[in-house]
Amino acid sequence: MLQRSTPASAEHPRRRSAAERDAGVIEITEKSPPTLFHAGESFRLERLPVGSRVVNAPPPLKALADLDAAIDHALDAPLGTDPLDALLRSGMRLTIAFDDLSVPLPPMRSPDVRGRIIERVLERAYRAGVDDIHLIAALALHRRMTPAELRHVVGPAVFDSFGPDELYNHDAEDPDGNVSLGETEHGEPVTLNRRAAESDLLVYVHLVTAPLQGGPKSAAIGLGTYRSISAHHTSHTLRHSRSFMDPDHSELHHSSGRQGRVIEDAVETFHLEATINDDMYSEPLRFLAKPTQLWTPRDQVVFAGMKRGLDRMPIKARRTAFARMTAPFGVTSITGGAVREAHAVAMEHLADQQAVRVEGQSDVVTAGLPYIGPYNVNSILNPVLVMSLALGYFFNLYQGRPLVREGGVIIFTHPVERDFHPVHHPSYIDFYEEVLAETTDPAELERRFERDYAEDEWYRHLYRTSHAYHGVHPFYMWYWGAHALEHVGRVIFVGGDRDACRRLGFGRADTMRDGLEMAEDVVGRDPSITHFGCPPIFYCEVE
Amino acid sequence: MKSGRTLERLAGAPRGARAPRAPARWRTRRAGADPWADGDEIPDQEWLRGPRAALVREGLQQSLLFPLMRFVTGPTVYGADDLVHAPQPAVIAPNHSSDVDTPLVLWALPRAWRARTVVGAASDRFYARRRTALMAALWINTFPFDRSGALYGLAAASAHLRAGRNVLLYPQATRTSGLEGFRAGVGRLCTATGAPVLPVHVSGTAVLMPKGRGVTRRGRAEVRFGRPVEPRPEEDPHEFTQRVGEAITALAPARGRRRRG
Repeated sequence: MLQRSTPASAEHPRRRSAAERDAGVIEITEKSPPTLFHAGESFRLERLPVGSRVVNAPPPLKALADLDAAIDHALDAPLGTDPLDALLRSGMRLTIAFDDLSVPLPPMRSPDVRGRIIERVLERAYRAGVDDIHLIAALALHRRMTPAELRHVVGPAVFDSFGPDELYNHDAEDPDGNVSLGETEHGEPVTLNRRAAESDLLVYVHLVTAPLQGGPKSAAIGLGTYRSISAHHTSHTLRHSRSFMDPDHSELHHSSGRQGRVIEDAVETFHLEATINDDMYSEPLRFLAKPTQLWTPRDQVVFAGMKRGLDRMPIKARRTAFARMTAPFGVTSITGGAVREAHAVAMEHLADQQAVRVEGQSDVVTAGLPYIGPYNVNSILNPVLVMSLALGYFFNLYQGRPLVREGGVIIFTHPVERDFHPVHHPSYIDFYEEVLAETTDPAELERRFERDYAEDEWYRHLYRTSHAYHGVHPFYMWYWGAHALEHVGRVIFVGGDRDACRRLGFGRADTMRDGLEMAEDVVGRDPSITHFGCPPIFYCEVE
Repeated sequence: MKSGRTLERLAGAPRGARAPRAPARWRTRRAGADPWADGDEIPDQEWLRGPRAALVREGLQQSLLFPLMRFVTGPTVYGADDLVHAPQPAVIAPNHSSDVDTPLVLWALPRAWRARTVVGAASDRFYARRRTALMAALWINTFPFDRSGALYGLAAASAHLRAGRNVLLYPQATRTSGLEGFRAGVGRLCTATGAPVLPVHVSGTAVLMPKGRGVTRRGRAEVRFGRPVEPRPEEDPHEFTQRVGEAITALAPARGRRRRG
């Protein structure tokens, strides 16, 4: 009763709305401080030309004060379906699916909200006499999570009470573990994890950190197989998803949504979505989320010390230090119910935190790429993932029109080291060495190489038994940037490795000033410049 | 002229031409209102609720806070003995006219109650600065209570009630001179959680430490505990608030009997 998980009303208006968020935009003057750029496992301070715009992430929203009550409210008063208690009955088969560790970024400080939700769902299931319960990490074609990672997500109590036969990773390549549910009206095949498909109730616990995530696509992709996922993870679909962060205009979402509908017709689903604020740094680094002009003298000293230290540390030590970081994210909403209804409300809560209104596109957009993306948690951000993070995620964090104009230039800061995690990303190494050496055109590499990688027995073996991403995954990462590759005139990496940038087909520069001069070759003199101050993650509503 | 040179130099940027000193404030030209203008609210200092911190708090209260408070207010307590029969956790709801009310009520409570009582402190006043937040949490066991109108404050209070703690909240929301202006917040909290309200009447503190000033003089204060008020099933929060207000008002001493300091 004291929780708000229904749409905003006149009585309880939203605290902030996208319309108020011109506030996120500041302009560089002669007296502005340098702008912070993330650059992998380090940072850069760059002087942007006077008149440049900086779009900053909004401050974190207040977290829910009573998370348990919010979860109970979502379970007891769901949107568009009966309360969970009414759906549970003794002797039923219950499957609880949850996201893998690609969300949130960086991983959430324990306890992870998904674990808290799962605990409350299990309490009710036990009370109703349900004892056939499976918990499945819905990781699609991502790598299998390690026991420690599973433990982190579901919490130690749940992890300890379920054996490996009841709490496990989804296996998209298990011939007996997946079933076909037919096709959509557009002929897209629909497959689903067998246990989920044969359950009386599928509870999907989702943590939504970007508009891309959640909704009907969750089960279709998370518990799907290569066959069903490849229906929409194509260079054509992803080129026509404008953008992924705007589900109404995303071909990817339309296609996976159709698959989701088939799944909802076949399996009764109770969908739960949690949203979090953007409080990603804990003390004493919380200032990193603020614009530099708000840094206190203490913040500046801490930053200076940290940067000097990082610049002197070997890369392995830096990676270890960054991998230990967990974020004190606060949960801003929990919504439960039918997939679409619950998702729509979760999207509103997400927009409260992340939507920033920006007027007009720019000739040049600059952004600093952080050390982490969705596919390198506890791993290495290899060059292919850098491309996907830059052109797949950062470029697509818009609704309306891209922040950069068509034919414009994007300048990223990242070292783009040619470094791969041999266990997590084996197919990436071959993709980088064999495929990218031939072509960087998404359609061509899809036509010539995708099937070989997707059906390679060794990659399949590593995906199923080790902790490797699926053989086809690097292709998807490349398609992810297909729209940006088509839209942008040039991509420049400041501080990027010469050979790696060349292999990826991007320009590189040593300093931001050089990068901006290179950009002028493409967009003309005195271009309009916007700095996209992500992370923390947010998206622009470009008018 | 450029600013931020000190930061760049500290952070190891190559030294350029001799630059003027950074200004005291960096200037910003901004398209809209500053979203950071509200400042950072200090989060709840949960660690100060642990058993060790509680021991330190009890020591500080008994050795410094309560003697000082007793010296200033010369208090008399009525009805505290009956609290042994009252159900816990409950919402402790006194009228509010002075900052000294909180330590006074805490002192007047039996130890069994005080040890499990948390105090809702206005987050905009007590949790705007780290030092104030730490001091409040250490001395009187506060949690940040958002009184902006959203439900964050009440949700936090309800979490404390569910964890078995009594919550001290002022239904008048702020320091007020009379017995009016009871807000529906406490009513909403209790009708939602089913927790009873312990009405408390504090008198004589307004003159000792008026709003906006420190302690002006010594005096005589009285604390009167009433009988718990339980919310009825399906009761309207406003009606319940009214009953609580009446219960607190009924505790006020008759005019002729009021002692003067």
